[in-house]
Amino acid sequence: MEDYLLVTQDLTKVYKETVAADRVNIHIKKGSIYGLIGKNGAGKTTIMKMIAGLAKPTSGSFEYSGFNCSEDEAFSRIGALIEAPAIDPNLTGFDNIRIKCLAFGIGDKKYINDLLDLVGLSHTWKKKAGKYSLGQKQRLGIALALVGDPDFLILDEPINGLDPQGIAEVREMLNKLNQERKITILISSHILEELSKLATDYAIIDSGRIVEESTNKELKEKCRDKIAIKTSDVAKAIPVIDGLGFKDYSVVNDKTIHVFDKLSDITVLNMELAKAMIPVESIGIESSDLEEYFLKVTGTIPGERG
Amino acid sequence: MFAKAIKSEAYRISKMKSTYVLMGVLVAVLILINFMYMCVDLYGLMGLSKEDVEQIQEMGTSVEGYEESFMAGFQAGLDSTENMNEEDKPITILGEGPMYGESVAMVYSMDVSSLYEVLLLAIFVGLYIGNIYTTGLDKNLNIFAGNRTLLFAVRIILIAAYAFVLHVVTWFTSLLSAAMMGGGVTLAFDKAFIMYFLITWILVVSFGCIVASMTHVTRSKAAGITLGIILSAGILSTIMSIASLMLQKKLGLESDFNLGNYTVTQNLATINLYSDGHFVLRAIICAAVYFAVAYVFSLSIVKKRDIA
Repeated sequence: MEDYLLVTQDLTKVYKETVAADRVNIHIKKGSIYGLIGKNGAGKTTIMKMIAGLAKPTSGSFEYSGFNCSEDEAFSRIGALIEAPAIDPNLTGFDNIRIKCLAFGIGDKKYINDLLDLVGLSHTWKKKAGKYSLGQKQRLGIALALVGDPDFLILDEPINGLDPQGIAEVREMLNKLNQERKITILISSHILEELSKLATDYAIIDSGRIVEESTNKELKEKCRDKIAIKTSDVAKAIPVIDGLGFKDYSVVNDKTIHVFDKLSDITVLNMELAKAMIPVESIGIESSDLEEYFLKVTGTIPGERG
Repeated sequence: MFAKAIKSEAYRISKMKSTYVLMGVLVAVLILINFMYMCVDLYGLMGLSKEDVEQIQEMGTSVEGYEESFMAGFQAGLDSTENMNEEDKPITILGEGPMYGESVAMVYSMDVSSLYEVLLLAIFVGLYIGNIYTTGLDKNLNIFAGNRTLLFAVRIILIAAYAFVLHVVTWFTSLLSAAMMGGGVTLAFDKAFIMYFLITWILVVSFGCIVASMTHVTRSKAAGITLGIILSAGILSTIMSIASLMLQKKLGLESDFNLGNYTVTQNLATINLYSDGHFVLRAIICAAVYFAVAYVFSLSIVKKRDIA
């Protein structure tokens, strides 16, 4: 059995008549970076709020089995940045962090300076947080989430508002936290390309429901480049494909075959299928990135729900 | 957990500019009021001498006495106007005011009953509690996610502590005023004063809890502060008087029945160093009931609600 940090069971949240999260079951492994993918309003933030203790589930439950402690104690081991960072604009970045530090029983000022340094805000510690740029506020939010050295970090759109350099820095920082401090991270982002550089596991959420939960490896498999053949006679086409030495292929349905190796041999394959009098409706190289795959899975591209 | 929450919240309060600005405003406002009552010859401006005032105060309480005192005051006014015309005496503004020469305790009693302290406390509470909702601060404090009662209690305790500080600041301002403008300092730091200090503090804390409750329930700074202003400025007193009259007629209550007597601010405005036991008991019960209702009501809502 996998070593899970968090497992949810039919976690549901209903706001008046809107079902924000519908029987959500996610399994977050210890030490993983778990990416939550979904459109705006899909229910990502609601799920994050529930497992961070900020919102009460309408039904269902979650268990921090990896912590071996009570739910209340578990909350003290979680760092969360959900929606906009909770920052008092009239206070400096230092003071904002100090408020949370004192709540965690941390009185050491060096600890705060180290945190500011980690997120690249050490030069702005005297500046009022209200005067921070959007990216700086986001960094301060991450620093706040890191107070108390959490074992589990929940980050809702942490790279929002960051410039490309900032995004790369945050990515590097999260990777470092994950690998060096063994912090498990749950992260959501609209920038799927970025998410794909970080996450080891994914859940795709649509209209409050988990549509798919997979590992990075599984997802890459689904997203990799392939020759897509559409034919009315799949049975006849298979010996031709075998005869040309293609090893890695799969029959998707009674009209579609995906071939994953020797993509450069597409012309030869097309000619051999024609020679064998196999009617080919279409043949071509398909490549889909995480974004396209997400759109297919969530049914945003009509008829492509996979 | 409790100590950590106290430290964290106290630090937040210590970093709020309004914490100090409001104290400064309180000192300035009370010094102005005390100046008016100590250094402005209010009776003289009305053409009354000290003897006239004493006569009026002696007649004072009954309806007949009130009528007599009113007539005496009126007559004194006429006399002084006539005298002024005869002697062409100039009107002097500065002089010995009604609180000149009074003890610090008496000046303090007047300062507390002016309700400026609770007005400024309302602004403080509105800002302090309202900031939680405007900044989403509680999202950072998920360490208390399973124990919101504790965090709620800590915040009320700190409001009570700030109310105590304002109470002390008020006393020091009274002392300062007496020393600078009151013709000398007589502390009158006796049992009656200590009782008065504590009872009025309890009333102020109760008032702070009502404002905190309003701010929590509406999640709005403005709502809490507005309620505080309405209550401390006596805007509801007219409505209270009308409601009292209606109740008197409907339920056949005595003519001195007044709903306002059962409000925190009215008790705060009318209680004094020499209030009798019945009055004091009513003030304490009012403070306790309002505090308990506001506390329980807002806590139940805070616990039920998700953290925004």
